[in-house]
Amino acid sequence: MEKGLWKRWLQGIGRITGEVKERLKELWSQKSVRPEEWEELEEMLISADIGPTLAVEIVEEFRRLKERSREDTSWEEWLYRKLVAFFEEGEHLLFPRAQPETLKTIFLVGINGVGKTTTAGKLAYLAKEKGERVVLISADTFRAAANEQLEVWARRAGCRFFRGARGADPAAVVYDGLQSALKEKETLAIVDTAGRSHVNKNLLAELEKVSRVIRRFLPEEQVEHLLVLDALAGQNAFAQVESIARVVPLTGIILTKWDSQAKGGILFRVRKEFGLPVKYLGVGEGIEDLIPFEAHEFVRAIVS
Amino acid sequence: MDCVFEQLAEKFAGVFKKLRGKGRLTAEEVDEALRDLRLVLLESDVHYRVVKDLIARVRERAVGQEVLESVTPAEMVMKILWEEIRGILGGEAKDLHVPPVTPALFLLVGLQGSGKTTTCGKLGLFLKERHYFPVLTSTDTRRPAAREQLRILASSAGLDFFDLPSAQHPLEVVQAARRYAREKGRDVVLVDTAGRLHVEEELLRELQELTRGEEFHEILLVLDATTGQEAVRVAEGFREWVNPTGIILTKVDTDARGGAVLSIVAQTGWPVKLIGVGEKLNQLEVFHPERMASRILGMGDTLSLIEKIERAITEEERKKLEKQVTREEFTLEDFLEELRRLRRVGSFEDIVNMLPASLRGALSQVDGERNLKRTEAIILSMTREERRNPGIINASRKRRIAQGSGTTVQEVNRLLREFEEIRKLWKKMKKGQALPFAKRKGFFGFGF
Repeated sequence: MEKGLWKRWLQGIGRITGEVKERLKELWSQKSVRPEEWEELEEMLISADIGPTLAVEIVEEFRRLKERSREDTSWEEWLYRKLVAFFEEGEHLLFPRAQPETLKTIFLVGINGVGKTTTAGKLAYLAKEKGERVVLISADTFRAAANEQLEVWARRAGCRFFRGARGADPAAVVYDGLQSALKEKETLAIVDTAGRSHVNKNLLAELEKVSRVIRRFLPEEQVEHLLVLDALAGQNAFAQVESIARVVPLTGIILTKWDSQAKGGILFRVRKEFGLPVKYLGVGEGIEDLIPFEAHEFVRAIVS
Repeated sequence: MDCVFEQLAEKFAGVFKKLRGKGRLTAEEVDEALRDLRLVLLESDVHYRVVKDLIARVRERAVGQEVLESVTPAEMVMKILWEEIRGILGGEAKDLHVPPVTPALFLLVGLQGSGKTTTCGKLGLFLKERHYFPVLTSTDTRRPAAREQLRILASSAGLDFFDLPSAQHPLEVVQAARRYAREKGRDVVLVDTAGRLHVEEELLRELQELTRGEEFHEILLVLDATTGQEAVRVAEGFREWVNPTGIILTKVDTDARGGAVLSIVAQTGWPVKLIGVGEKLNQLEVFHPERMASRILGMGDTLSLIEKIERAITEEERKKLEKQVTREEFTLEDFLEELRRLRRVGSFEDIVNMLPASLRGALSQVDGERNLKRTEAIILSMTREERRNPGIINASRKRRIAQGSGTTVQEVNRLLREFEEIRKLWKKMKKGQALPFAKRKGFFGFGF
C-alpha cells in the first residue's frame, strides 16, 4: 500500500488502540484492580463505539485471563487472537468467484449522507486502474443534483456515465443501464442509489426491486451488494445493517470517513454479529482515498 | 424480533417491571436500576462521560427524595433521569428566533453527509412559511454539484437562490449575497458550506475566516442523529474555530436514539433549534426536549404521537372513547375502530415509529398499509359474537375467517395474539398503571 494512505489508515487504528493498550498493560501488571478501574477500561472501549455489550465481553475475558494467569500467559497473544477472529484473510476481495471478462455489478446502498456517491466515484477509478471497463450508473433519481455529482466523478475517473431522469423509477434506470453496459461490452457497472432511511418501508421495497432487477440480469457471483457505513456512526449502524440486509443480500461493508479519527468500533460489532466482510475504507475526499481492508495488517497494526 | 434496540427496550421494560410495585427503594435497588439504565444510555450513543455524570446526579437526587403518593419509588428514579435529560436538552420547546436586522445571516456548518444542503432548503421553506423572505446561497465549491443541488432545492421550494460562480473565496460569496439581499429586500441569508471533518484544521480555518469577515446571527451545527461517541469531539472541533450558536439535528426519521445530541448539548450548552424528520422539504420541525428525552431512553416518541392522534380525534369520538375506557371489555370491534382511526392520523409507519420499541414489537405484524387492510378484512370476516368474545374462536372458526378474508389461519392467529397484547395494555391503562412520563390522555393502548 502507498505510504500516505497507510499512514492515514493507521491513524484511525492508533486511536482505537493506543490508549486501550496502555491501559491493558497497566492493569495486567497491577496486583489488584479496583472495580472502578474495570469500569474505566469498559468506558474506554465504549468510547470507540464498539458498543457496551462487546465492551463488557472484552473486559470480562481480560479479567478472567488475568485471574487465571500464569507466568507464560500473554495478554498480547490473547488480544491478537480475539481481534483476528473477527476477520478473515483476503475478505476485502471483490467478486472472488466471478468470470473476469463478463459484466459484474457493484450495487451501493446505505442511508443518507454516508458517502455512497463519493465511494462510487473512487471505486470506479480504482477498477479502471485495474483494467476494468467501467460504467457508473446513477439510480439516485430523488436527490437534487445527485446525477450531476456522480457525472463529475465519472469524468474524474474517466469512465462512462449512465443516468436516469429525476423522478424516474430507479429499477428501470438500472435495467437500461445494465443493458447499455452489455452493449458496450463493459466489465463493471457501479450502481449508486439514493440514500434512504432504513426504517422507511417504501424506500426499502424500492431497493429490493432494484436488487431483483440486477440479479435477474447477472448470476450471483457477478454481483456485490455493498452497504456503505459512516465511521462516525454509533450503535445505530447496527440497525442499519440489520434492516437493509433484510431486503437485499448484502455481501460486504464499506466504511467511509475513516480519516475522521472516529474509532469506527462499530466495525467489530457489525463484523461479529452479521459476518459481513469489510471491503474498503474511505479515507478522504480525493479520488484515490479508498483503501482495501486488509484484515491481517489491520490486526497486526492494532496489536504490535 | 432480533433488533437490538427492541431487545434493549424490552430489557428496560423488564427492569422497570421488576422495580415497580415495591413499596420502598433501597440504595442497592437504585444502583441496580441505574446500572441497567447506564447500558441503555450507552446503547443510545450518549457519551460515556455524560452518562457517568447523569447517573451520579440521578443517584444523588434520588436518595432522600420525597416520593409522591401516586408513583412508586422506582418510577421516581426513572422520572428523575428523564427530567435530568430533558433539563439538559433545554426544558421547553423553543422556536427559531430571527433577529430584526435586514438581512439576518445564518450559517450552516457540519461534517460531510450530515445533511447541510437539504437542511438549508428546508430551513428556507420553514422561514418562508413564517412569512420571511430568505435567500439561499452556497460556498461549497468542493463537493461536485453541491451548489446545483441547492439551486434545485431552492427552486422546488419557490425560494430565491444566489450564486457567484466567479468568487475566489467563500467570504466573497457571502458579502455579495448580503448585498443582493439588501437590494432585493430579502430578510434572511442562509449560507450552506462544504462539509468538513472536525480534525481538518485548514478547512476549519477557512470557516473561521468566514465568520470573522461577516457577522453571522446564527451559526448552526448540522448534526446527524446517528452519530456515535465521536460527537463530542466533533463539537469540540467546531467550537474551537467557529463557536456555533445552535444545533439542527437531522435524520431523526431513522430509529437512531440520538444520544449524540445529548452529549453535545451537555458539553456545550448549544440549544437544539430544529430537527429534520424526512427527505421532503417540509420535514423540518421544532425540537421538543421532552420527546427527545423519551427517545434516548427508548420510550418512543410518545408525546408526539399523542399530539398527532389528538389532532385526528374529533370531539364526538373523544366522548365515545371516554365511555369506552370506563366500560369493562375491549373488543375486536374497538380494535378495528382504532386501526381505522390510526389510518387517518397519518401513514401507519409514522405512527409505529413513534411508539416505544416494546409496543412497536407487538404491532410489527400490522405494519404497512397492506397489512392494515388484511387486518381489517380478518376482523370483518368474524361474526359479531366472535368480535366481542374472541375466546370462542376455535380452529374451525379460524379456518372460516381465514377463507372469508382471503388470508391464512396463521395470520388470524397472529392478529388474535396481537389483539390479546393490546387488550392487556388496555386493562393496565384502566387500572391506572400507566407508564409514568407521558401525560395520560385517557387514550387506551396507544396513549401511554
